[in-house]
Amino acid sequence: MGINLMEGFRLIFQPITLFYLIVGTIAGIIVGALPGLSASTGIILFLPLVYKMPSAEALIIMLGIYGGSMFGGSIPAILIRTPGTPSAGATVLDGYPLAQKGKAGLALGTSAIASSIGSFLSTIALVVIAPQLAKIALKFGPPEFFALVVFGLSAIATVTGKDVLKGFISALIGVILGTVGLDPVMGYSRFSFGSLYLESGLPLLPVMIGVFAIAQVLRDLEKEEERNIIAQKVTRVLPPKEELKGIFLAALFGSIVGIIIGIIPGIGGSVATYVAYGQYKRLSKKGKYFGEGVLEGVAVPESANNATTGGALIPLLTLGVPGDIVTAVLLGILILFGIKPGPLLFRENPILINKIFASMFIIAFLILVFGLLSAKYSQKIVYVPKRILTPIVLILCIIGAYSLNSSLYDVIVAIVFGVIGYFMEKFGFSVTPLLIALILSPIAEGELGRTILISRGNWTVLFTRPISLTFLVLTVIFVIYAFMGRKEEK
Amino acid sequence: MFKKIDAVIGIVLILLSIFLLRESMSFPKSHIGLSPGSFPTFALVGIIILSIVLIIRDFVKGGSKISVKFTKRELKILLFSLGSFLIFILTLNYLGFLYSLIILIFLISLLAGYKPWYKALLFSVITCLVSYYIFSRIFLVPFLRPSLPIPFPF
Repeated sequence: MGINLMEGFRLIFQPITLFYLIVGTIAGIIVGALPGLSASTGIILFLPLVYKMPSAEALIIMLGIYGGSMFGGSIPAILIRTPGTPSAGATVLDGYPLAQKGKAGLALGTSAIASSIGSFLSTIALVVIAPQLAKIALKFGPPEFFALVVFGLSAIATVTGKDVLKGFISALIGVILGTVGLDPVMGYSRFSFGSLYLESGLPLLPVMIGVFAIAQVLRDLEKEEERNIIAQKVTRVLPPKEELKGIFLAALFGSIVGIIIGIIPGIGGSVATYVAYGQYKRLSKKGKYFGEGVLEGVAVPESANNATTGGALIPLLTLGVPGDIVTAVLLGILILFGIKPGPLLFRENPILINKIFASMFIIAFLILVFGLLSAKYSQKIVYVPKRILTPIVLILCIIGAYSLNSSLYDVIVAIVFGVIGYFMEKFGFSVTPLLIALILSPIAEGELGRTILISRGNWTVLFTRPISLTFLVLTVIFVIYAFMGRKEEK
Repeated sequence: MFKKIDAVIGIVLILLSIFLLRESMSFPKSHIGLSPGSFPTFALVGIIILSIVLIIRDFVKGGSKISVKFTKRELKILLFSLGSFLIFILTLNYLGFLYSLIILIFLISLLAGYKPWYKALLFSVITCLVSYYIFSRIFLVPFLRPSLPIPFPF
């Protein structure tokens, strides 16, 4: 498959590329540390700044933001009991009690070490598994890819949000939105209602800016600013030697769970952290002290959420199916840069793959360095007031939407989808399935069209080829399990 | 407030889907491969079925589980922000990107709690000017200029 890590490192060890990696990682840490800004929002807000850069360099910055924000989310979780990103939710459980005991620095240091381990191990998994999976995926034909997309979409619709039914409705709305514009076979204009703008389809990035960032601005405006939060003082950062073994073991466990969950489409970092935390609490000798402020209780979720990054990149790069919402945003960006992820990417663009793999290792190291260095300044990042942050985010949203094509239409689309995203969340519909379906819908339709063509109109081919049948059966099992499982939970 | 919100959403979705379904039925048929209307039809039928389930669930369970409540303050903020967006869009062609953005950001800063108003205005002017300068000079984004005869710094 042409994977050559050393070549990747040679390409990455250029001053300008290293600078981009550092910028991306620091930006990610800041984005993650600001409550209300998630990794996906951070990546979207940075897109206008990197849009005109070469694709590999732009992607490297985005990966830095992805990895950095996973760690950054732990900063407010530890200091003010508010997770900076959803995947830092479990970090609050032991991080904040540690801070209350005056060990906020130790908790932040542990978080940086564990996040770095999680990133490093998940990159190893990525380097080992992705090329092998790509080799298998090369044998996939259109029926297999169609079934895979259906499976990925169903998994995302069932897992994200609190309501499976609404998740599916959201995904189907995304599918319809993805069909707006010219159809791929006959070039017939669908649902454009005479608008030239709609004929070329809905612009993906303005939609993303809308449903994530502008909707978030509207939600933030509603919230009252919390003025009475008292952050804990940050003193010693590096954990004592006698604690290191426990931290490493916890981080190893969290990383394994994070990698496995990261690979499965739709589940993501948030679930991985709680699963890893719960299981390690059961297995560890210190389990009974979890929740009272133990360093392992920080190491497990922090390694798990960072480990999902490499895991989630595996289906994205090898199959073109995003593992979580951040990789869905990355997929949109790859498409924007004219890169089609999938097994052929490994054969046709090995330089990009080598660069991605090598940069992921560097990011793991940078998280450790900047994670430890930033601990003492973390209080200042956490306290950016809403009255300053919200307007700045909105400026970036509006300029970002406009600058992609210098088009006012894109700004209007972003605002309209911001309002739609706001109301969807208000009414209990997760926007994640909508967005992923919007991205995957043209891919699914294209693969289904090719399936029908090669089988001369015989739809049953989807059920007679073993791999596509397996994916479709898995989809049915997943959906039934999700509906039944949620019923039992109630 | 909005007790049967899921049922209302379900009805709206069904009506919209029926409208789009009629559209997709009118698309030409392809003799080879997938017709332009096939894929959307499949998704729209799916939305209709799931919306019916949503409505039934809402009635069987006696109302939505989610509480969609807007306090007076929230409603005021929402309407004010939507109004600000509308002003931005409507003034763009006349005032150009920079001035419209300053107005939008000033209004949003006030909503976000920036006080007093003249500090919010100063903040909006500075942040918008800096952002505009960076994107127009460094990233070479061709922003819309004012069509009205008003002074323009760039």
